[in-house]
Amino acid sequence: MRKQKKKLYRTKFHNVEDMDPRSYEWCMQCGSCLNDHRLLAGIQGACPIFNHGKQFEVYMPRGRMQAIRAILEGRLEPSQEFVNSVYMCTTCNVCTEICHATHTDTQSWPITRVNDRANTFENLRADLMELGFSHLDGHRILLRSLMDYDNPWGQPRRAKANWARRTGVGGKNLGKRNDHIDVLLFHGCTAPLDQSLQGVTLDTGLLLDKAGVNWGFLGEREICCGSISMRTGEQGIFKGLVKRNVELFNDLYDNYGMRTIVTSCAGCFKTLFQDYTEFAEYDGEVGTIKAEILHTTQFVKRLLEQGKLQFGNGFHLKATYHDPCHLGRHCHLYETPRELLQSLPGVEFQEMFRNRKYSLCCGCGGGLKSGYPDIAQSIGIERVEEAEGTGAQYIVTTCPFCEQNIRDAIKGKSSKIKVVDLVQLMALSTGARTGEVPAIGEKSAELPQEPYGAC
Amino acid sequence: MALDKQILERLAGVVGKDYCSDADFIVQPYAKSLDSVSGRRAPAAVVIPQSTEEVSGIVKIANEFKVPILPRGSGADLTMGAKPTKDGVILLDLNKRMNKIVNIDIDHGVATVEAGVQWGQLITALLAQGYYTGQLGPANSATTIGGGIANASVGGGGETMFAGPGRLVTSLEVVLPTGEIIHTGSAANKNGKPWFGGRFLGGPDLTGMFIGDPGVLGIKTKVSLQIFPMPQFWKCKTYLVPGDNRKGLEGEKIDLLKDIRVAVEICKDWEKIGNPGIHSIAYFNFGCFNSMAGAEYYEPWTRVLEPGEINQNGALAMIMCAASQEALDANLKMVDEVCEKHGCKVFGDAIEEGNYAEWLLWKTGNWSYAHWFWGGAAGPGAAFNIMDVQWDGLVDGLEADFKVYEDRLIDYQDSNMPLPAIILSPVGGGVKLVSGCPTRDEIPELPQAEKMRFDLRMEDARCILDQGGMPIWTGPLYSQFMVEKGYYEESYFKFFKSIKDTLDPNGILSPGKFHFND
Repeated sequence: MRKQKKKLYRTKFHNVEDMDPRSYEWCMQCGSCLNDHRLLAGIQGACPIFNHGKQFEVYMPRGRMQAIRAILEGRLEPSQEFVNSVYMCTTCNVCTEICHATHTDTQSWPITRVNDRANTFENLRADLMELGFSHLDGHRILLRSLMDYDNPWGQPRRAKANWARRTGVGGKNLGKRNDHIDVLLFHGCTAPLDQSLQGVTLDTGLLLDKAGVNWGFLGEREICCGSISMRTGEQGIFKGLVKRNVELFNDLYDNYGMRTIVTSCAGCFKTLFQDYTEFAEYDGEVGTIKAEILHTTQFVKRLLEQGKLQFGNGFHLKATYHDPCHLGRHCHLYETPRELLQSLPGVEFQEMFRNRKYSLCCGCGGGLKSGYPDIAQSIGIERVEEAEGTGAQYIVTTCPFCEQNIRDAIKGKSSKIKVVDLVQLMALSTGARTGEVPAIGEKSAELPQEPYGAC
Repeated sequence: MALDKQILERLAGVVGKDYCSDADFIVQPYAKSLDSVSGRRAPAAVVIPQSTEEVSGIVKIANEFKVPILPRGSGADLTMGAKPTKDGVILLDLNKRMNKIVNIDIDHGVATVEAGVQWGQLITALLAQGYYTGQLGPANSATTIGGGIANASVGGGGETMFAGPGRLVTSLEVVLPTGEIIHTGSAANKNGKPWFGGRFLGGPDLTGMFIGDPGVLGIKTKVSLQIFPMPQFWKCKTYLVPGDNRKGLEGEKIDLLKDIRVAVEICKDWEKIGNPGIHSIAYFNFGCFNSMAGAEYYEPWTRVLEPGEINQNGALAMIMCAASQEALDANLKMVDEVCEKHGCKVFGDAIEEGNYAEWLLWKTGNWSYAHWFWGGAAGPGAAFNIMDVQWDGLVDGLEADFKVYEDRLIDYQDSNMPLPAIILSPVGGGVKLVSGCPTRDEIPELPQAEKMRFDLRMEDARCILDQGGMPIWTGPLYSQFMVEKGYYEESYFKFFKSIKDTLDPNGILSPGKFHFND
């Protein structure tokens, strides 16, 4: 969402053209973003579409970059087929990390953000939607729900507080009225509304209780962060959500003492932390969030350092860590989750070969799971196979959206490996919760089994 | 130019309709080559074959309808060769489905791959078995082996020990321009197969005929390469080579090539003692470091220099390998002595101490030409020349080159090509030379800017060609310049053309990729 107000071509593709020209001009065509292998540097493959999607260049980042140039230079008229190709992308951003024009080892972080391929593709999607092209069927359903219910999963607003009704948590439900709190738990849409993932939200709350934090949640009043609208090119919807959320958060900041927003969703974190800030820089009509925004792993690390939480209960399990793209490549948060996971007693940690900035996407992001579910599943299975290769019993991650797709891939492959959120392990180890190590997607005695949400 | 629908249907009959298209949004992304001097031209259609037989089928259809075809690997051709040179061309994308490693035969020291396999892909597979192709990197690990062989280059540079991928080929499977399939080297025996020593058997070296051709004599569909056990002991070192660091005040003439002259003498001295254990060498002049090395390297590099003093030194980055630590230490001693004799400073072993070689090998995973330099160059492409030239032509060529740079400084700067970068990679008796300027073009590719860059690039090339150098990639770019400027011996050119005419009577394969002047 890094934009500026100058244009080179003056086409109707203003969202792309509003970006720094380097973000759509800088592609030499070296091909590393399609498929590259540099074992010594930890690179084994690049764009997940190369092995799982259609195989013409336009379906991959380099070809898409060339298509953008062709459009801007008048050599290509966009078509619905082209639009469909633009959506065959997880926006995982491995193309940006591997790109030699954005090399993070030689260039600094701001340059990487300028040349953010995923962001370029999101702006391309926005332009195409403004020109009247159609969304993929799966996206239409999610976006309709987003407009009707403020969540993409077709569930009523009140369902967002269901997770808190099941087990007593100490957080204040701000759904009816505001109250004084220090920390707002932004639970997002996916975890509270997907039955199999509610444990992630619940355990986050229990961790905050355990640490004695004065916290609250918005429940039925919480509005989607807008990630899905941003990723699928509906920037008008996104702007509306940004304005409403910023107003809500800043009211809590100004009048009720809220200073920190914590979320366990990597997608919400990236959107609130990065997209909101950059959107506000570009668009004067929206403000910035005054409170600090942290992923739960960052906040738990702080609580551990302050002595408000201690890991005590041990496990006997072997685990590997999957980097969510929104947390890792997009926000460069690689080490904190690893440090926490490895400091849990009794966890034997084994890294997958593709990790950190070169990790393989789970296949879920960028609207791929709703737009091209078969491809998302296929990519997810590749990631599960890689995790199996480490000998791990658990894939630990920090994003409910990744957990959905990995859960489905595990089922699709009939794998014995399990997926769990790091928050759930930390809740057990700190004694915030008791019981067995949970596994997302498997039946649990602790939560009543009801039909899944929209997933 | 639209392709006859009847041809498209026939092609779909060979590869399947999902792998064949003439839609605008499909063909336009194939309109660019890697260079920044040749503009864009889209093919009429793109097909993605999966097998040698499918390639053969496509070639036969092309002959039937006399339609030009252009095979391409990963499209990273620096000499205009990855895109059509004329309208109406059917482009064969060999990277997407012909990318399987067919066989790694440790016993016979050879790996056989489909032409669309990428270098990094093969090296990764080999390393898992303790082997490699004899190259570290390569410069662009995403390029295909077929493309590297056709251009006799990819992975090139710094390969002191093995001297380039072309020498590593043992056998080829080639679809000729008429659609027949042949095997070369020991695989030409109906009962034979590729093996380490099998290239020069049973007749003339027809394998070599297809190396560096550049794709005009046949379509390589399978390549067999020699493989080697990965050495266990490695050492990366970086030496700062003394240059002329005078300030150049009051008209004082500075020798900007002084460090290069010293680097050449060091490399020649190393050659005289047999390049003991040296796997790869690359020399980067100060222009490279100043403009493109990035903060991570520039800062420690400057720290070893005298504070406040002008620095016009380049650095030699060297990788050694050996079968034992003792051998490595002994070789290193000999190599170090040469550098000491020439007054080099040695960087510390750690990456943080400015050991550029260590960083190139272990962190970027790219060696020699430092593919990441392209990141420094960025923009829509690179305006480099890559040519091999013998020792006694190198310095004279560079002197002429620097003179051109001085004379046309305004043009260079107007073209966003701010300073000349030089990389030298000794290959035995001479070097692979990368010269030229990165382009930082952040504006649309205007035709006049491209023409200026083209002129400057060819002027740069001329300086080296005049000294007997030759490009490792010919491609439309160099072949046209060399043919039209009369660099080729007339009889050689005629001989080459007669081979082309014989093999490709309809002239359908890769038109313009070598400039036959017809």
